[in-house]
Amino acid sequence: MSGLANPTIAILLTGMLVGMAGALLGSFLVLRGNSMLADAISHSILFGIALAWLATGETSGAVQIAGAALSGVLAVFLIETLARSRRLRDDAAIGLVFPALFSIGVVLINVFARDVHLDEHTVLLGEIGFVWLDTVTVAGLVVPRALLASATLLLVDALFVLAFYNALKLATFDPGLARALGLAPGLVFYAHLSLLSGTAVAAFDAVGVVLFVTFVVVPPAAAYLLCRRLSSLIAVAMLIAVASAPLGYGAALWLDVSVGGAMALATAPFLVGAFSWRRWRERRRYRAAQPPAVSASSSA
Amino acid sequence: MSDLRADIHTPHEPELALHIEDLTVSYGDRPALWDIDLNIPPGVLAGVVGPNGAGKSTLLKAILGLVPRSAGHVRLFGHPYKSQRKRVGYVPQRSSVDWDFPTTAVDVVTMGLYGQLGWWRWPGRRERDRALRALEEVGMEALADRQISELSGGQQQRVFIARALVQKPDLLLLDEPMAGVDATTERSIIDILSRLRSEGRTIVVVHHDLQTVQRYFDWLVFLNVRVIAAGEMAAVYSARNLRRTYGGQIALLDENGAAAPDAPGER
Repeated sequence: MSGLANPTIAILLTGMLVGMAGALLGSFLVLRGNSMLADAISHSILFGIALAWLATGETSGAVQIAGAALSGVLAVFLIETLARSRRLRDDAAIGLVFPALFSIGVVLINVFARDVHLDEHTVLLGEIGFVWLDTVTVAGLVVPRALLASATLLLVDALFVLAFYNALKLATFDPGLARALGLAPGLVFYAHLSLLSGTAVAAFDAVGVVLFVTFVVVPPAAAYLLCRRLSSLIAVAMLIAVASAPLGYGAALWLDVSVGGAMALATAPFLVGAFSWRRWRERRRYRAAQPPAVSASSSA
Repeated sequence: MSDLRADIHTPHEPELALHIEDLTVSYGDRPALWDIDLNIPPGVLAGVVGPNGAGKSTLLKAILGLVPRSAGHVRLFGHPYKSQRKRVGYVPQRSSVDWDFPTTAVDVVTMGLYGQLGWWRWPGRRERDRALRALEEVGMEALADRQISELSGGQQQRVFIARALVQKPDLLLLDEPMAGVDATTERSIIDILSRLRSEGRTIVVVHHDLQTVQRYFDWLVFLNVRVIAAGEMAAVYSARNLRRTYGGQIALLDENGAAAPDAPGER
Protein backbone atom coordinates (compact mmCIF):
# COMPACT_ATOMS: atom_id res chain seq x y z
CA MET A 1 0.00 0.00 0.00
CA SER A 2 1.54 3.30 -1.01
CA GLY A 3 1.68 6.21 1.40
CA LEU A 4 -0.99 8.13 -0.50
CA ALA A 5 -3.54 5.41 0.20
CA ASN A 6 -2.89 5.55 3.93
CA PRO A 7 -6.21 6.78 5.40
CA THR A 8 -4.81 9.61 7.50
CA ILE A 9 -2.54 10.90 4.73
CA ALA A 10 -5.27 10.59 2.10
CA ILE A 11 -7.81 12.45 4.24
CA LEU A 12 -5.40 15.23 5.24
CA LEU A 13 -3.98 15.75 1.74
CA THR A 14 -7.42 15.78 0.12
CA GLY A 15 -8.64 18.32 2.66
CA MET A 16 -5.60 20.54 2.11
CA LEU A 17 -5.76 20.38 -1.69
CA VAL A 18 -9.50 21.07 -1.83
CA GLY A 19 -9.01 23.90 0.65
CA MET A 20 -6.16 25.46 -1.33
CA ALA A 21 -8.01 25.27 -4.64
CA GLY A 22 -11.15 26.75 -3.08
CA ALA A 23 -9.26 29.55 -1.34
CA LEU A 24 -7.26 30.40 -4.48
CA LEU A 25 -10.30 30.87 -6.71
CA GLY A 26 -12.40 32.17 -3.81
CA SER A 27 -10.05 35.12 -3.25
CA PHE A 28 -11.16 36.73 -6.51
CA LEU A 29 -14.81 35.87 -5.85
CA VAL A 30 -14.83 37.42 -2.38
CA LEU A 31 -13.07 40.57 -3.62
CA ARG A 32 -15.64 40.92 -6.41
CA GLY A 33 -18.42 40.73 -3.83
CA ASN A 34 -19.78 37.56 -5.45
CA SER A 35 -19.37 35.11 -2.56
CA MET A 36 -22.91 33.82 -3.00
CA LEU A 37 -22.06 32.57 -6.48
CA ALA A 38 -19.92 29.89 -4.79
CA ASP A 39 -23.06 28.68 -3.05
CA ALA A 40 -25.01 28.75 -6.30
CA ILE A 41 -22.33 26.86 -8.24
CA SER A 42 -21.67 24.19 -5.65
CA HIS A 43 -25.39 23.39 -5.35
CA SER A 44 -26.11 23.54 -9.07
CA ILE A 45 -23.41 21.02 -9.98
CA LEU A 46 -25.57 18.30 -8.40
CA PHE A 47 -27.80 18.62 -11.45
CA GLY A 48 -24.78 18.04 -13.70
CA ILE A 49 -23.43 15.21 -11.56
CA ALA A 50 -26.82 13.45 -11.73
CA LEU A 51 -26.99 13.91 -15.53
CA ALA A 52 -23.37 12.76 -15.99
CA TRP A 53 -24.12 9.69 -13.89
CA LEU A 54 -27.25 8.92 -15.93
CA ALA A 55 -25.30 9.24 -19.16
CA THR A 56 -22.14 7.34 -18.21
CA GLY A 57 -22.90 5.37 -15.05
CA GLU A 58 -19.93 7.01 -13.34
CA THR A 59 -19.64 9.97 -10.99
CA SER A 60 -15.92 10.64 -11.17
CA GLY A 61 -13.55 10.96 -14.09
CA ALA A 62 -12.46 13.81 -16.33
CA VAL A 63 -15.51 13.73 -18.62
CA GLN A 64 -17.89 13.60 -15.67
CA ILE A 65 -16.13 16.49 -13.95
CA ALA A 66 -16.20 18.63 -17.09
CA GLY A 67 -19.83 17.75 -17.78
CA ALA A 68 -20.97 18.44 -14.26
CA ALA A 69 -18.97 21.68 -14.20
CA LEU A 70 -21.07 22.87 -17.14
CA SER A 71 -24.14 22.89 -14.91
CA GLY A 72 -22.34 25.30 -12.58
CA VAL A 73 -21.59 27.54 -15.56
CA LEU A 74 -25.23 27.16 -16.65
CA ALA A 75 -26.30 28.40 -13.21
CA VAL A 76 -24.04 31.47 -13.51
CA PHE A 77 -25.33 32.16 -17.01
CA LEU A 78 -28.97 31.93 -15.88
CA ILE A 79 -28.30 34.17 -12.89
CA GLU A 80 -26.52 36.77 -15.04
CA THR A 81 -29.27 36.70 -17.66
CA LEU A 82 -32.04 37.10 -15.09
CA ALA A 83 -30.17 39.90 -13.30
CA ARG A 84 -29.44 41.72 -16.57
CA SER A 85 -33.13 41.69 -17.50
CA ARG A 86 -33.55 44.26 -14.66
CA ARG A 87 -36.78 42.51 -13.68
CA LEU A 88 -35.04 40.77 -10.76
CA ARG A 89 -32.36 41.81 -8.33
CA ASP A 90 -29.03 39.92 -8.34
CA ASP A 91 -29.62 38.16 -5.03
CA ALA A 92 -33.15 37.14 -6.04
CA ALA A 93 -31.77 35.69 -9.28
CA ILE A 94 -29.24 33.63 -7.32
CA GLY A 95 -31.92 32.47 -4.88
CA LEU A 96 -34.16 31.45 -7.75
CA VAL A 97 -31.69 29.55 -9.92
CA PHE A 98 -29.61 27.35 -7.67
CA PRO A 99 -32.35 25.75 -5.54
CA ALA A 100 -34.11 24.88 -8.81
CA LEU A 101 -31.07 23.12 -10.31
CA PHE A 102 -30.21 21.54 -6.95
CA SER A 103 -33.69 20.13 -6.43
CA ILE A 104 -33.86 18.77 -9.97
CA GLY A 105 -30.56 17.01 -9.19
CA VAL A 106 -31.97 15.58 -5.95
CA VAL A 107 -35.10 14.34 -7.74
CA LEU A 108 -33.05 12.73 -10.53
CA ILE A 109 -30.94 10.90 -7.97
CA ASN A 110 -34.00 9.79 -6.01
CA VAL A 111 -35.76 8.46 -9.08
CA PHE A 112 -32.90 6.90 -11.04
CA ALA A 113 -30.03 6.32 -8.68
CA ARG A 114 -31.38 4.80 -5.51
CA ASP A 115 -28.61 2.23 -5.28
CA VAL A 116 -25.50 4.35 -5.78
CA HIS A 117 -23.61 6.15 -3.06
CA LEU A 118 -25.08 9.47 -4.18
CA ASP A 119 -27.46 10.28 -1.35
CA GLU A 120 -28.53 13.64 0.00
CA HIS A 121 -26.33 13.38 3.05
CA THR A 122 -23.17 12.77 1.01
CA VAL A 123 -24.15 15.55 -1.35
CA LEU A 124 -24.31 18.09 1.43
CA LEU A 125 -21.42 17.00 3.63
CA GLY A 126 -19.31 14.66 1.52
CA GLU A 127 -17.46 11.77 3.07
CA ILE A 128 -13.83 12.73 3.29
CA GLY A 129 -13.39 10.04 5.97
CA PHE A 130 -13.74 7.38 3.27
CA VAL A 131 -11.74 8.92 0.40
CA TRP A 132 -8.99 6.32 0.85
CA LEU A 133 -11.38 3.47 0.00
CA ASP A 134 -11.89 4.54 -3.62
CA THR A 135 -8.51 4.38 -5.32
CA VAL A 136 -7.06 4.37 -8.82
CA THR A 137 -3.57 3.36 -9.94
CA VAL A 138 -1.54 6.08 -11.65
CA ALA A 139 1.97 5.24 -12.86
CA GLY A 140 2.16 2.32 -10.44
CA LEU A 141 0.99 4.43 -7.51
CA VAL A 142 -2.25 3.68 -5.68
CA VAL A 143 -3.95 7.07 -5.29
CA PRO A 144 -7.35 7.83 -3.84
CA ARG A 145 -9.59 9.07 -6.62
CA ALA A 146 -10.70 12.24 -4.77
CA LEU A 147 -7.07 13.08 -4.00
CA LEU A 148 -6.10 12.73 -7.66
CA ALA A 149 -9.06 14.84 -8.78
CA SER A 150 -8.41 17.65 -6.30
CA ALA A 151 -4.66 17.69 -7.05
CA THR A 152 -5.36 17.95 -10.78
CA LEU A 153 -7.86 20.75 -10.33
CA LEU A 154 -5.55 22.66 -7.98
CA LEU A 155 -2.83 22.44 -10.61
CA VAL A 156 -5.14 23.68 -13.38
CA ASP A 157 -6.47 26.47 -11.14
CA ALA A 158 -2.96 27.59 -10.20
CA LEU A 159 -1.82 27.62 -13.83
CA PHE A 160 -4.90 29.64 -14.79
CA VAL A 161 -4.36 32.22 -12.04
CA LEU A 162 -0.63 32.55 -12.84
CA ALA A 163 -1.22 32.89 -16.59
CA PHE A 164 -4.08 35.40 -16.33
CA TYR A 165 -3.10 37.14 -13.10
CA ASN A 166 -3.17 40.70 -14.54
CA ALA A 167 -6.46 40.22 -16.31
CA LEU A 168 -8.05 38.54 -13.26
CA LYS A 169 -6.83 41.28 -10.96
CA LEU A 170 -8.04 44.15 -13.14
CA ALA A 171 -11.35 42.40 -13.92
CA THR A 172 -11.87 42.11 -10.16
CA PHE A 173 -10.81 45.65 -9.21
CA ASP A 174 -12.13 47.65 -12.16
CA PRO A 175 -14.00 45.65 -14.84
CA GLY A 176 -14.78 48.87 -16.75
CA LEU A 177 -11.10 49.69 -17.28
CA ALA A 178 -10.31 46.03 -18.02
CA ARG A 179 -12.84 46.17 -20.83
CA ALA A 180 -11.61 49.51 -22.12
CA LEU A 181 -8.06 48.10 -22.26
CA GLY A 182 -9.28 45.06 -24.21
CA LEU A 183 -8.77 42.50 -21.41
CA ALA A 184 -12.23 40.89 -21.83
CA PRO A 185 -13.35 40.79 -18.18
CA GLY A 186 -16.52 38.90 -19.12
CA LEU A 187 -14.52 36.06 -20.63
CA VAL A 188 -12.14 36.01 -17.64
CA PHE A 189 -15.16 35.91 -15.30
CA TYR A 190 -16.67 32.88 -17.03
CA ALA A 191 -13.33 31.07 -17.25
CA HIS A 192 -12.80 31.67 -13.54
CA LEU A 193 -16.27 30.41 -12.62
CA SER A 194 -15.95 27.40 -14.96
CA LEU A 195 -12.83 26.39 -13.05
CA LEU A 196 -14.62 27.02 -9.76
CA SER A 197 -17.39 24.68 -10.96
CA GLY A 198 -14.87 22.03 -11.99
CA THR A 199 -13.11 22.34 -8.65
CA ALA A 200 -16.43 22.04 -6.85
CA VAL A 201 -17.19 18.81 -8.74
CA ALA A 202 -13.75 17.39 -7.94
CA ALA A 203 -14.12 18.37 -4.29
CA PHE A 204 -17.70 17.17 -4.14
CA ASP A 205 -17.04 13.53 -3.17
CA ALA A 206 -14.70 14.60 -0.44
CA VAL A 207 -16.36 17.55 1.23
CA GLY A 208 -19.84 17.97 -0.30
CA VAL A 209 -21.40 21.19 -1.50
CA VAL A 210 -21.82 23.07 1.77
CA LEU A 211 -18.30 22.50 3.01
CA PHE A 212 -16.79 23.46 -0.32
CA VAL A 213 -18.47 26.87 -0.01
CA THR A 214 -16.77 27.28 3.36
CA PHE A 215 -13.35 26.79 1.79
CA VAL A 216 -14.13 29.22 -1.03
CA VAL A 217 -15.44 32.02 1.16
CA VAL A 218 -14.04 31.87 4.71
CA PRO A 219 -10.23 31.76 4.19
CA PRO A 220 -10.24 34.69 1.68
CA ALA A 221 -12.64 36.64 3.92
CA ALA A 222 -10.25 36.18 6.87
CA ALA A 223 -7.20 37.03 4.73
CA TYR A 224 -8.97 40.16 3.46
CA LEU A 225 -8.94 41.48 7.03
CA LEU A 226 -5.21 40.84 7.40
CA CYS A 227 -3.58 41.63 4.06
CA ARG A 228 -2.73 44.76 2.10
CA ARG A 229 -1.72 43.11 -1.20
CA LEU A 230 -3.66 40.78 -3.45
CA SER A 231 -0.75 38.32 -3.67
CA SER A 232 -0.40 38.09 0.12
CA LEU A 233 -4.18 37.80 0.50
CA ILE A 234 -4.17 34.74 -1.76
CA ALA A 235 -1.18 33.22 0.03
CA VAL A 236 -2.67 33.76 3.49
CA ALA A 237 -6.07 32.43 2.38
CA MET A 238 -4.44 29.25 1.06
CA LEU A 239 -2.40 28.86 4.27
CA ILE A 240 -5.55 29.17 6.38
CA ALA A 241 -7.21 26.50 4.25
CA VAL A 242 -4.17 24.21 4.60
CA ALA A 243 -4.03 24.70 8.38
CA SER A 244 -7.76 24.03 8.75
CA ALA A 245 -7.44 20.46 7.43
CA PRO A 246 -5.24 18.93 10.21
CA LEU A 247 -6.94 21.15 12.80
CA GLY A 248 -10.36 19.87 11.75
CA TYR A 249 -9.16 16.28 11.43
CA GLY A 250 -7.77 16.33 14.97
CA ALA A 251 -11.00 17.82 16.28
CA ALA A 252 -13.05 15.21 14.40
CA LEU A 253 -11.07 12.33 15.93
CA TRP A 254 -11.27 13.86 19.38
CA LEU A 255 -15.01 14.60 19.30
CA ASP A 256 -15.92 11.68 17.01
CA VAL A 257 -17.78 13.87 14.49
CA SER A 258 -17.84 14.28 10.68
CA VAL A 259 -14.32 14.97 9.38
CA GLY A 260 -15.49 17.29 6.60
CA GLY A 261 -17.70 19.24 9.00
CA ALA A 262 -14.87 19.67 11.50
CA MET A 263 -12.45 20.81 8.76
CA ALA A 264 -14.90 23.44 7.59
CA LEU A 265 -15.55 24.59 11.12
CA ALA A 266 -11.79 24.79 11.69
CA THR A 267 -11.64 27.79 9.33
CA ALA A 268 -13.83 29.72 11.78
CA PRO A 269 -11.16 30.46 14.44
CA PHE A 270 -9.04 32.08 11.72
CA LEU A 271 -11.89 34.36 10.68
CA VAL A 272 -12.71 35.27 14.29
CA GLY A 273 -9.02 35.88 14.98
CA ALA A 274 -8.58 38.08 11.90
CA PHE A 275 -11.73 40.01 12.74
CA SER A 276 -10.62 40.65 16.33
CA TRP A 277 -7.11 41.66 15.25
CA ARG A 278 -8.53 44.13 12.73
CA ARG A 279 -10.85 45.68 15.33
CA TRP A 280 -8.05 45.92 17.87
CA ARG A 281 -5.77 47.59 15.34
CA GLU A 282 -8.44 50.09 14.24
CA ARG A 283 -9.27 51.01 17.85
CA ARG A 284 -5.62 51.52 18.65
CA ARG A 285 -5.19 53.77 15.62
CA TYR A 286 -8.32 55.70 16.51
CA ARG A 287 -7.05 56.27 20.06
CA ALA A 288 -3.64 57.32 18.79
CA ALA A 289 -5.32 59.87 16.53
CA GLN A 290 -7.33 61.42 19.39
CA PRO A 291 -5.92 64.45 21.22
CA PRO A 292 -5.22 63.54 24.91
CA ALA A 293 -7.85 65.91 26.33
CA VAL A 294 -10.64 64.24 24.34
CA SER A 295 -9.63 60.71 25.28
CA ALA A 296 -9.41 61.75 28.95
CA SER A 297 -12.93 63.18 28.95
CA SER A 298 -14.39 60.21 27.07
CA SER A 299 -12.86 57.72 29.49
CA ALA A 300 -14.14 59.67 32.50
CA MET B 1 -21.89 58.22 -45.43
CA SER B 2 -22.90 54.58 -45.23
CA ASP B 3 -20.01 53.54 -47.50
CA LEU B 4 -17.57 55.16 -45.08
CA ARG B 5 -19.10 53.30 -42.20
CA ALA B 6 -18.87 50.00 -44.01
CA ASP B 7 -15.09 50.13 -44.32
CA ILE B 8 -13.59 50.68 -40.90
CA HIS B 9 -10.06 50.68 -42.29
CA THR B 10 -10.58 53.87 -44.21
CA PRO B 11 -9.93 56.82 -41.89
CA HIS B 12 -13.14 58.75 -41.36
CA GLU B 13 -12.79 62.36 -40.16
CA PRO B 14 -9.10 61.82 -39.19
CA GLU B 15 -8.57 65.48 -38.43
CA LEU B 16 -10.89 65.20 -35.41
CA ALA B 17 -9.81 63.74 -32.05
CA LEU B 18 -13.38 62.59 -31.49
CA HIS B 19 -16.14 62.20 -34.05
CA ILE B 20 -19.55 60.87 -33.05
CA GLU B 21 -22.38 60.48 -35.52
CA ASP B 22 -26.02 59.43 -35.02
CA LEU B 23 -25.18 57.78 -31.70
CA THR B 24 -28.11 56.35 -29.73
CA VAL B 25 -27.77 54.32 -26.51
CA SER B 26 -30.72 52.82 -24.64
CA TYR B 27 -31.06 51.16 -21.25
CA GLY B 28 -34.13 48.97 -21.71
CA ASP B 29 -36.84 51.11 -23.30
CA ARG B 30 -35.41 54.42 -22.09
CA PRO B 31 -32.93 56.21 -24.35
CA ALA B 32 -29.91 57.44 -22.39
CA LEU B 33 -28.41 59.18 -25.43
CA TRP B 34 -30.43 60.15 -28.47
CA ASP B 35 -29.01 60.82 -31.92
CA ILE B 36 -25.73 62.35 -30.75
CA ASP B 37 -23.62 64.21 -33.32
CA LEU B 38 -20.43 65.55 -31.78
CA ASN B 39 -17.02 66.62 -33.07
CA ILE B 40 -14.10 67.55 -30.85
CA PRO B 41 -10.89 68.82 -32.48
CA PRO B 42 -7.47 67.78 -31.13
CA GLY B 43 -5.73 69.83 -28.46
CA VAL B 44 -8.75 71.17 -26.59
CA LEU B 45 -9.78 70.86 -22.95
CA ALA B 46 -13.48 70.15 -23.30
CA GLY B 47 -16.13 70.08 -20.59
CA VAL B 48 -19.35 68.07 -20.81
CA VAL B 49 -22.16 69.50 -18.66
CA GLY B 50 -25.80 68.63 -18.17
CA PRO B 51 -28.29 67.74 -15.43
CA ASN B 52 -28.37 64.39 -13.60
CA GLY B 53 -29.48 61.63 -15.93
CA ALA B 54 -28.38 63.59 -19.00
CA GLY B 55 -26.19 60.66 -20.11
CA LYS B 56 -22.80 62.27 -19.47
CA SER B 57 -21.14 59.13 -18.08
CA THR B 58 -22.93 57.03 -20.69
CA LEU B 59 -21.40 59.21 -23.41
CA LEU B 60 -17.87 58.38 -22.19
CA LYS B 61 -18.76 54.70 -21.84
CA ALA B 62 -20.23 54.63 -25.35
CA ILE B 63 -17.02 56.14 -26.74
CA LEU B 64 -15.05 53.34 -25.02
CA GLY B 65 -17.47 50.62 -26.15
CA LEU B 66 -18.46 49.83 -22.55
CA VAL B 67 -22.19 50.12 -23.28
CA PRO B 68 -23.89 48.71 -26.39
CA ARG B 69 -24.79 51.24 -29.08
CA SER B 70 -28.27 51.02 -30.59
CA ALA B 71 -27.21 53.12 -33.56
CA GLY B 72 -24.45 55.37 -34.85
CA HIS B 73 -20.68 55.27 -34.85
CA VAL B 74 -17.70 56.71 -32.99
CA ARG B 75 -14.29 57.51 -34.50
CA LEU B 76 -11.15 58.50 -32.60
CA PHE B 77 -8.54 60.21 -34.79
CA GLY B 78 -10.45 58.76 -37.73
CA HIS B 79 -10.57 55.14 -36.51
CA PRO B 80 -12.81 52.93 -34.36
CA TYR B 81 -11.94 52.71 -30.66
CA LYS B 82 -10.61 49.15 -30.84
CA SER B 83 -7.65 50.17 -32.98
CA GLN B 84 -7.01 53.30 -30.88
CA ARG B 85 -7.14 51.69 -27.42
CA LYS B 86 -3.53 52.49 -26.57
CA ARG B 87 -4.00 56.20 -27.36
CA VAL B 88 -6.97 56.64 -25.01
CA GLY B 89 -6.91 57.09 -21.23
CA TYR B 90 -10.04 56.70 -19.14
CA VAL B 91 -10.63 57.95 -15.61
CA PRO B 92 -13.93 56.47 -14.35
CA GLN B 93 -15.87 57.89 -11.41
CA ARG B 94 -13.93 57.31 -8.21
CA SER B 95 -16.94 55.59 -6.62
CA SER B 96 -16.96 52.94 -9.36
CA VAL B 97 -14.33 50.78 -7.61
CA ASP B 98 -13.83 49.31 -4.14
CA TRP B 99 -11.07 51.34 -2.45
CA ASP B 100 -10.69 48.63 0.20
CA PHE B 101 -9.16 46.38 -2.47
CA PRO B 102 -5.81 45.05 -1.18
CA THR B 103 -3.40 47.06 -3.31
CA THR B 104 -1.14 50.13 -3.29
CA ALA B 105 -1.20 53.45 -5.14
CA VAL B 106 1.69 52.54 -7.46
CA ASP B 107 0.09 49.16 -8.20
CA VAL B 108 -3.19 50.82 -9.25
CA VAL B 109 -1.24 53.12 -11.58
CA THR B 110 0.59 50.12 -13.06
CA MET B 111 -2.84 48.67 -13.98
CA GLY B 112 -3.04 51.40 -16.63
CA LEU B 113 -0.27 49.53 -18.46
CA TYR B 114 -2.02 46.14 -18.46
CA GLY B 115 -3.47 46.88 -21.89
CA GLN B 116 0.02 47.46 -23.32
CA LEU B 117 1.44 44.45 -21.47
CA GLY B 118 -1.25 42.26 -22.99
CA TRP B 119 -2.50 38.95 -21.63
CA TRP B 120 0.74 37.25 -20.69
CA ARG B 121 3.46 39.67 -19.67
CA TRP B 122 3.85 40.64 -16.01
CA PRO B 123 4.68 44.19 -14.98
CA GLY B 124 8.35 44.56 -14.01
CA ARG B 125 10.89 47.18 -13.04
CA ARG B 126 10.22 49.27 -16.17
CA GLU B 127 6.48 49.39 -15.57
CA ARG B 128 6.97 50.33 -11.92
CA ASP B 129 9.29 53.18 -12.93
CA ARG B 130 6.76 54.47 -15.43
CA ALA B 131 4.04 54.27 -12.77
CA LEU B 132 6.21 56.18 -10.30
CA ARG B 133 6.81 58.89 -12.89
CA ALA B 134 3.06 59.17 -13.49
CA LEU B 135 2.51 59.51 -9.74
CA GLU B 136 5.15 62.24 -9.72
CA GLU B 137 3.19 64.10 -12.41
CA VAL B 138 0.22 64.31 -10.04
CA GLY B 139 2.35 65.01 -6.97
CA MET B 140 1.73 61.64 -5.32
CA GLU B 141 5.17 59.99 -5.50
CA ALA B 142 5.61 60.12 -1.70
CA LEU B 143 2.51 57.97 -1.20
CA ALA B 144 3.34 55.38 -3.88
CA ASP B 145 3.43 52.40 -1.52
CA ARG B 146 0.45 53.49 0.55
CA GLN B 147 -2.53 51.13 0.77
CA ILE B 148 -5.27 52.79 -1.34
CA SER B 149 -7.88 52.71 1.44
CA GLU B 150 -5.57 54.94 3.49
CA LEU B 151 -5.63 57.73 0.89
CA SER B 152 -7.99 60.72 1.07
CA GLY B 153 -10.62 61.17 -1.63
CA GLY B 154 -8.51 63.74 -3.44
CA GLN B 155 -5.43 61.51 -3.31
CA GLN B 156 -7.43 58.57 -4.66
CA GLN B 157 -8.63 60.76 -7.53
CA ARG B 158 -5.05 61.73 -8.36
CA VAL B 159 -4.03 58.05 -8.35
CA PHE B 160 -6.83 57.41 -10.84
CA ILE B 161 -5.59 60.24 -13.06
CA ALA B 162 -2.02 58.93 -12.84
CA ARG B 163 -3.33 55.51 -13.95
CA ALA B 164 -4.59 57.13 -17.16
CA LEU B 165 -1.47 59.33 -17.61
CA VAL B 166 0.88 56.34 -17.43
CA GLN B 167 -0.53 55.24 -20.80
CA LYS B 168 0.65 58.56 -22.33
CA PRO B 169 -2.77 58.96 -23.95
CA ASP B 170 -3.49 61.33 -26.82
CA LEU B 171 -7.13 61.45 -25.77
CA LEU B 172 -8.08 61.52 -22.10
CA LEU B 173 -11.65 60.96 -20.89
CA LEU B 174 -12.46 61.84 -17.28
CA ASP B 175 -15.76 61.18 -15.51
CA GLU B 176 -16.42 63.80 -12.79
CA PRO B 177 -12.80 64.05 -11.59
CA MET B 178 -13.65 67.00 -9.32
CA ALA B 179 -16.52 65.25 -7.50
CA GLY B 180 -15.94 65.09 -3.77
CA VAL B 181 -12.41 66.51 -3.75
CA ASP B 182 -11.18 69.55 -1.79
CA ALA B 183 -10.44 72.90 -3.42
CA THR B 184 -6.66 72.36 -3.44
CA THR B 185 -6.97 69.03 -5.23
CA GLU B 186 -9.44 70.52 -7.71
CA ARG B 187 -6.93 73.29 -8.46
CA SER B 188 -4.08 70.81 -8.97
CA ILE B 189 -6.24 68.55 -11.16
CA ILE B 190 -7.13 71.42 -13.47
CA ASP B 191 -3.44 72.46 -13.56
CA ILE B 192 -2.50 68.91 -14.64
CA LEU B 193 -5.19 68.92 -17.33
CA SER B 194 -4.15 72.34 -18.63
CA ARG B 195 -0.54 71.18 -18.85
CA LEU B 196 -1.62 68.11 -20.82
CA ARG B 197 -3.57 70.30 -23.23
CA SER B 198 -0.52 72.52 -23.78
CA GLU B 199 1.34 69.31 -24.74
CA GLY B 200 -1.21 68.88 -27.53
CA ARG B 201 -3.40 66.21 -25.95
CA THR B 202 -7.17 66.24 -26.13
CA ILE B 203 -9.10 66.08 -22.87
CA VAL B 204 -12.83 65.52 -22.36
CA VAL B 205 -14.12 66.07 -18.81
CA VAL B 206 -17.60 65.32 -17.49
CA HIS B 207 -18.17 68.18 -15.08
CA HIS B 208 -20.94 69.06 -12.63
CA ASP B 209 -20.09 72.54 -11.38
CA LEU B 210 -21.40 75.29 -13.65
CA GLN B 211 -19.64 77.98 -11.58
CA THR B 212 -16.25 76.90 -12.88
CA VAL B 213 -16.85 75.74 -16.47
CA GLN B 214 -15.89 79.03 -18.06
CA ARG B 215 -12.59 79.21 -16.17
CA TYR B 216 -11.60 75.57 -16.64
CA PHE B 217 -12.48 74.70 -20.23
CA ASP B 218 -11.96 76.13 -23.70
CA TRP B 219 -14.55 73.89 -25.36
CA LEU B 220 -18.00 72.99 -24.06
CA VAL B 221 -20.69 70.38 -24.69
CA PHE B 222 -24.19 70.92 -23.32
CA LEU B 223 -25.76 67.50 -23.01
CA ASN B 224 -29.24 66.41 -22.00
CA VAL B 225 -29.83 63.03 -23.71
CA ARG B 226 -29.32 65.03 -26.91
CA VAL B 227 -26.49 67.44 -27.66
CA ILE B 228 -28.02 70.86 -26.95
CA ALA B 229 -24.96 72.80 -28.08
CA ALA B 230 -21.25 72.17 -28.55
CA GLY B 231 -18.33 74.30 -29.58
CA GLU B 232 -15.79 76.84 -28.39
CA MET B 233 -16.59 78.21 -24.96
CA ALA B 234 -17.12 81.80 -26.16
CA ALA B 235 -19.48 80.66 -28.90
CA VAL B 236 -21.77 78.35 -26.91
CA TYR B 237 -21.76 79.50 -23.26
CA SER B 238 -24.99 81.45 -23.03
CA ALA B 239 -27.98 81.74 -20.72
CA ARG B 240 -30.14 80.41 -23.53
CA ASN B 241 -28.12 77.19 -23.86
CA LEU B 242 -27.98 76.78 -20.07
CA ARG B 243 -31.76 77.10 -19.91
CA ARG B 244 -32.28 74.68 -22.78
CA THR B 245 -30.01 72.14 -21.08
CA TYR B 246 -31.09 72.45 -17.46
CA GLY B 247 -34.71 73.65 -17.85
CA GLY B 248 -36.10 75.11 -14.61
CA GLN B 249 -33.00 74.36 -12.54
CA ILE B 250 -31.13 77.25 -14.09
CA ALA B 251 -33.03 79.86 -12.03
CA LEU B 252 -31.05 78.75 -8.97
CA LEU B 253 -27.80 79.39 -10.75
CA ASP B 254 -28.80 82.94 -11.68
CA GLU B 255 -29.58 83.68 -8.02
CA ASN B 256 -26.10 82.55 -7.08
CA GLY B 257 -24.77 85.33 -9.22
CA ALA B 258 -23.22 83.24 -11.97
CA ALA B 259 -24.50 85.56 -14.62
CA ALA B 260 -24.21 84.14 -18.09
CA PRO B 261 -24.30 86.32 -21.19
CA ASP B 262 -27.60 86.27 -23.02
CA ALA B 263 -26.13 85.88 -26.44
CA PRO B 264 -22.87 84.34 -27.61
CA GLY B 265 -20.00 86.63 -28.49
CA GLU B 266 -20.82 89.43 -26.05
CA ARG B 267 -17.49 89.35 -24.26
